[in-house]
Amino acid sequence: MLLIQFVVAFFATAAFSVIFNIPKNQWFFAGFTGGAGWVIYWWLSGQRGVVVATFIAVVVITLLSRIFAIVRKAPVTIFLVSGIFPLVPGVGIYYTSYYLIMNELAMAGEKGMETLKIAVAITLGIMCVLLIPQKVIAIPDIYVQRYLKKKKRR
Amino acid sequence: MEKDTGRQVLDLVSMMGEELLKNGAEIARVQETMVIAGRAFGKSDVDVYAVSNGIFVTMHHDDQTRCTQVKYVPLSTPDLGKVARINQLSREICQGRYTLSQATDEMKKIAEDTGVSLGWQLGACALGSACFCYLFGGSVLDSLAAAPVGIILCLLQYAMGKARISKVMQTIFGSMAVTVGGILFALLFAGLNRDSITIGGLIILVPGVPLTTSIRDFFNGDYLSGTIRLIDALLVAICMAIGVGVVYRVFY
Repeated sequence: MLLIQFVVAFFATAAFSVIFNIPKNQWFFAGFTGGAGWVIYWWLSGQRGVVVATFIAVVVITLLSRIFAIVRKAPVTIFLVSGIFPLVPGVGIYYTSYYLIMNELAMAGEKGMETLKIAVAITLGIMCVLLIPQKVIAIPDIYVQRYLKKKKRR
Repeated sequence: MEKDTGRQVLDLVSMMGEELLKNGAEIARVQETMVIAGRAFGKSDVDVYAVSNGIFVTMHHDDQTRCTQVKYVPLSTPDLGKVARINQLSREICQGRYTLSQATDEMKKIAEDTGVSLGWQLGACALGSACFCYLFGGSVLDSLAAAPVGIILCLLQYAMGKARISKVMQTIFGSMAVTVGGILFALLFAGLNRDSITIGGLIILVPGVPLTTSIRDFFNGDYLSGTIRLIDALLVAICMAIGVGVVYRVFY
């Protein structure tokens, strides 16, 4: 089940990276970021609620995007935008306006509040990871470079 | 000769800034890229002030004069591929791989690129809608229905973009079309979930790029630009809600 969710989210995110005209050689990594983020969200949202799940998923997505940005030598935005797409509360907007029109104001308020909370969770998640200095993020890259060097020597 | 170089550098630098800003790069990146590219071509005193929809550049021209350029950059559809390519270009400029005229040519090439072809976009919209429909609780059949809805939305957006309809109306009409599509599919084929299909289509309209860029601008201390883009994102969200609302009002 987890795997199916990952694969679907992977293709969903990859499709959006096509719409945003992201270079072909980055599609896989953009898709991977989105897939990983979604799986974490999907897994946690049942246990901890959507807001906490969104926050943690966004933290992971932003971390991955920053690492990929260094490894793949591309702007962070590319991976971040496509990765975050599944979590942006499009669903929340839909249900809020739906209940508002149906005159179920209590439900509309609840959904609206939840949408707002998710938006704040996304913001906080991105901020938290952006606070980490670039040098710390670059650590995995150092190992990748070392590995590549070794491979070349052989 | 010396005079011309100054002007060329200014042209190149402001063009890079304009394209970056237009295509959804954050303010800090725009300013940094412009300063760095200027320095690579021997202009160490480039001063840039950028906001979401405008750029001001000043730099040394010769001993006596300074030159300035103001550029108005209207908010438009982002194209992250261009951001990536300009990023690559500025990296290579810094490594000294380009002469000034080569860099200008390359930059013009990037600016003239029209982006993804319609066919690719249609395919991506179909795949995206179907996948998101499934992720948000739709069945496989719902997803199959969401794909054509996504294609219709994509075609509609393309047509409206050609007809130069404003972004607000584009979003409202787009979300109306998606909602109508969702309702129709649910009416025609019993057992399909109206909500999942609609959500799958709507996701294409969600303002992901302005939202993310806005957050990053706020983080970098560019509060003005962050606010402009946040309002942009909010406006799109409100328009989506209006579109959905209007259709439900009419149908029920």
